Amino acid sequence: MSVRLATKAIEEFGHHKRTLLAPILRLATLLALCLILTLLSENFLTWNNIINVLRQSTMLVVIGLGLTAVVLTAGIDLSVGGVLALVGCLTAQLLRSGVPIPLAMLIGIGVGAILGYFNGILVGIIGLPPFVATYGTKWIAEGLALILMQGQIIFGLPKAFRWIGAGYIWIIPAPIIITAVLALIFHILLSKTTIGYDIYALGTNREAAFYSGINVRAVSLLVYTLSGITAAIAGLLMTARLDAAEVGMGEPFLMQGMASVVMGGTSLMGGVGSIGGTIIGALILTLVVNGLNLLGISSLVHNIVTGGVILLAVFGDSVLRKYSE
Amino acid sequence: MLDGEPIIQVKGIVKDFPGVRALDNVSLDIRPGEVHVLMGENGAGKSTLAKILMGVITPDAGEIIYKGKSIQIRTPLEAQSYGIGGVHQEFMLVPWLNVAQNIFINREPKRWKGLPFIDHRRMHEESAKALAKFGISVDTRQPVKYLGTAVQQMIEICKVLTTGPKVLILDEPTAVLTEREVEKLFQYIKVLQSQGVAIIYISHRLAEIRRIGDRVTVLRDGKYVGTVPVREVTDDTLVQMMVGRNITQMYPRHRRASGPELLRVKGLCVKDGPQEVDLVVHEGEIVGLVGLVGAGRTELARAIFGIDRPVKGEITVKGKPVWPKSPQQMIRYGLGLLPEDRKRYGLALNMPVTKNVIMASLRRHFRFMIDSQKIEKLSNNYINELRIATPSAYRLVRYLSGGNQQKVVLAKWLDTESKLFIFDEPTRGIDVGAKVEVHALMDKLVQEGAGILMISSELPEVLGMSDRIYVMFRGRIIGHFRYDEADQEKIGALMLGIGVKEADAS
Amino acid sequence: MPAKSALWKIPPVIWIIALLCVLYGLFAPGFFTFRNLQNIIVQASPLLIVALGMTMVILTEGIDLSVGLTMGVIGVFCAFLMKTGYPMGLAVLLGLSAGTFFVFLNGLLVSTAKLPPFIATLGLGSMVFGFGLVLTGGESVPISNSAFRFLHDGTIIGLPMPIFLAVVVFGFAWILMYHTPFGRNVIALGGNPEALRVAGVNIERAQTLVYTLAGFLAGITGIIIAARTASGYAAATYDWEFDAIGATIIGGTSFEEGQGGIGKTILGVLLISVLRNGLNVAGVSNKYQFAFIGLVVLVAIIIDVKFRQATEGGAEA
Repeated sequence: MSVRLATKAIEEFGHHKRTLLAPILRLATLLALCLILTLLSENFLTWNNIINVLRQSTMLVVIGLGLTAVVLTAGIDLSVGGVLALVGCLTAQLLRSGVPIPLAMLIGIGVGAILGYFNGILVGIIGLPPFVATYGTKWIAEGLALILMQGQIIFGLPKAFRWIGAGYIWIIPAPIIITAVLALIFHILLSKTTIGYDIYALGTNREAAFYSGINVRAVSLLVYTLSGITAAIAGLLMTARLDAAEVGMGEPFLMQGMASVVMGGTSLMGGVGSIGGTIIGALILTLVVNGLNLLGISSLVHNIVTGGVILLAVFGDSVLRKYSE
Repeated sequence: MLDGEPIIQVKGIVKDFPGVRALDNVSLDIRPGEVHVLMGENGAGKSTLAKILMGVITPDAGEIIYKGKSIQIRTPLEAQSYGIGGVHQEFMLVPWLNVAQNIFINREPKRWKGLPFIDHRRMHEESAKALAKFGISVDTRQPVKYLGTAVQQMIEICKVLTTGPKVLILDEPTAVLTEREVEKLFQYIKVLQSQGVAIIYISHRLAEIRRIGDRVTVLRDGKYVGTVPVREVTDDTLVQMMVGRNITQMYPRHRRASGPELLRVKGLCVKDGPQEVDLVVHEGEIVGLVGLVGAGRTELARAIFGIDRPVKGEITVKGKPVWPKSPQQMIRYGLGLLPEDRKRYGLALNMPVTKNVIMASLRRHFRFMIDSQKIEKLSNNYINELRIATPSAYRLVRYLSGGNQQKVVLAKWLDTESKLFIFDEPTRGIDVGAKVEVHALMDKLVQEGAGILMISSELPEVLGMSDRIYVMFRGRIIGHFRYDEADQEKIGALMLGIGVKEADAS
Repeated sequence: MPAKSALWKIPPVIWIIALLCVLYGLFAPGFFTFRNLQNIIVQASPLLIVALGMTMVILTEGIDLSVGLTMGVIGVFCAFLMKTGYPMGLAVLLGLSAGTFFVFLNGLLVSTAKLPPFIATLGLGSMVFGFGLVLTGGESVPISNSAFRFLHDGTIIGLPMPIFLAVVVFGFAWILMYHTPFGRNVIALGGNPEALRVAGVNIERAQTLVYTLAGFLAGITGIIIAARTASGYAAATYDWEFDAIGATIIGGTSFEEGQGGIGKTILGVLLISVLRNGLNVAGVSNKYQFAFIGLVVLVAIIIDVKFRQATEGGAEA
């Protein structure tokens, strides 16, 4: 029995070179980055700094969760940054005008869900190309945030609210716990449930999924709504952590969110990828930024780095794909 | 006919695609002024050979000899430089360019020599002239998008002819043409022939081959079977060469008395498709549905299965009226559709066998959480039962051969425990061995009480497998036969619309 | 195509423009003045130039999401060069070449490396923007050179410079699109690239060329805007690709099959310019325009997609 399993494993290893090679490459990149940073700075390998890096990565990971589900269906969500900013600003406004904290957060997440659902309608029901639909939503969300804020910045939010971004549970920061729980939920949803199966099937061949009786519209609606919700949660985490909200706060997340998903091995063609990969992708990106800061390189360079990283990742993905064929 | 030096020879051509050897050591020679017919069943390798000669794909081994010199054809442009041109099987027109722009694509007459400015007037004049040879007068300033498939096909032919080819390859050119246009095309082929142009004509219609062919080369499963002069060979011999075995072995069928009604379609109409279609399928029978490409057979299947919405009509499944809204709904009613284009509609090529097998029946086994071991066990059962050749249940479906891919689609529908199957060209593009297995499986299904509506273009298959046969022509059912009252001539004539009365023939 | 009455043949865009003009005429008193109408055309001109390039890219079933950022960075680059003492002509030339080169890289990524256009252009756009920021430390660079400002403020044969440039560029683009093989390539790249390849065209090169030309046109626009604001600022035009895409789609060019053309884009540009101008004259703040125009563009795209679905029917042969 075990011999048979072993031979089968070896045979399939030869067959799935790409699917095994890529995760190994990614993990190696992550470890190499850690090693380099340890050598560069003695402060890197300390409890405080590691916790710090993890905390910095939480927003990116949370955005990446919903985004991964979308990209797995061969879609894309360019509105995550806009949704994040709008939800952050809205919640801050609500809190300032005295709305109870749970209600304000619920409204924020609800708005994220609605915008995501709107994307789902545009893509899944009306049939717009995903990048057009979500790009339009991005501008609408940012426009609404502009109207909401009238050019101001809000800060000084209630302490109980700030806890979700800056508080601790025992010695571990609350955002890390929240992110870990969310990631676990998404991991199980995608890899162990019928819904997850539908998402992968839709991304691999939409037509075949439809012909096989999968409700492709419902799946599209679901993944974009999930992406709206995770972007909203990331907005709450960020507002709580910064203790501030302003219109431009979502700007970097469009590129960085996509970069971590793609770097995590989720293919833009759909059907291939995982939550684990996205987490590694987000960590790599956070470490790169962390490293640039450690080296004292201006934050103005970050755009060049994320742009370059995303192009490299997508390019690497297509090269690996060719190699495997 | 003409015994001149061959203008083109191919020797020992081999071409592999993932999971299947499309051409295996094929050789033939083409002489100037002859119409050389390439014949064979679907998947025999005819089109692959045509694509190699046209420079669309390159062979893995073998040699092409042009007027005695060994040459390589790596691109369509190189093929053109040797005077080899052809009409591709795929649509090669640009929808929003106009007729003249399509005919002269990348060969536009220039206004001034050496400058890139296009002489539109000359281009339109010459296009109109070329089209007029076939008696077609369309506005050459119209985008081809707005033209019918027959006219589009003639434009493709004109596109080749204006390059002045020495070797002309026509891959099933008459599939979408009307009788009048076929007539014009055949006349023109004779003219070209008298000018010494060699013509490679791909077809499996015996009548056409008899009319214009000089010699015929038969391929079977990618292998060369033989070349014979058309005049010296009987139809039976040709069919024998094409199929390669006795008809009774191909169609293992045990007919039985049919049971109660499974599906009834009444007065079904689909926009630009089937009109007023009535048909019935009972338990325990295979019902054949034949017709030419474009007769509306696939559209009918799609409408019944809830993919396209019918305009009006009634459908009852096991006596219960249903209005098809989606495949999801029809699967609940016990229907299954094995689509014509399995790679596009039937399979997720980049998923393993396991995930394809479970695709239509996932929620029959699991409500929310999935047990992947159970899926593996299930898949292995089907792999054994249907003898799917795969090293493991986790092999991606794209690496399986056509026949094994089709078996995976079959397994998917078997696992839904459907009672009524619509099989659209179930054996297209798979090798003979797998064909027989698919036929045997269909027989087994109906023995166990299922009903099958089988769409097929291969008359021997339809005659060998069906209990009853419907003939479709231009969206309508115009003939209905029991298997023992049907024969190739009767059905073939009806498919072409010969002798159709206005009243419904059934 | 069934025959339709003449009224039906008028594109809906013209109806909407007419409707907008009537509305603005009633509610925004300053709208129907010669000065304001001329203003609309002057504002529309740079948008037309960049939208022409975008139309060609979209006709190939591509997209360029880097246009706005590239434009801004070209302005910065020119301003920076002039500040460090380069003569204006050379600065403009270098700026244009740099911008064209960036977008040429875009084209390579799409055509040769086969990246999805939106991701290639987003990624490269982000990098270009980064270079722009690093070059000036994220600050706006003032331009004092009056010859440079002539590119926006001056007039030629009575025409304001932007209008003159737009007319010249449009004529140039028209000849390219409809009288040379370039235009045939653009339409065919979107409609059926395989047909083009079989006809012997190097489709990778053709595709790269389309992006490069679009980048060149974006460069011209970037310079006009820098001349208008008398400064180079990387983020100055970051939302322009949205207007350019919107104008293309509203005009009637579709994301699929290479359907559409550059003539139609003029109407789209006019609609967006009238919309923005009217909102300004009516005193609606910029903040509200943002979300509003986003919505208008999305609705136009939805109508385009739905209309095409309705006319083509569901059945495939």
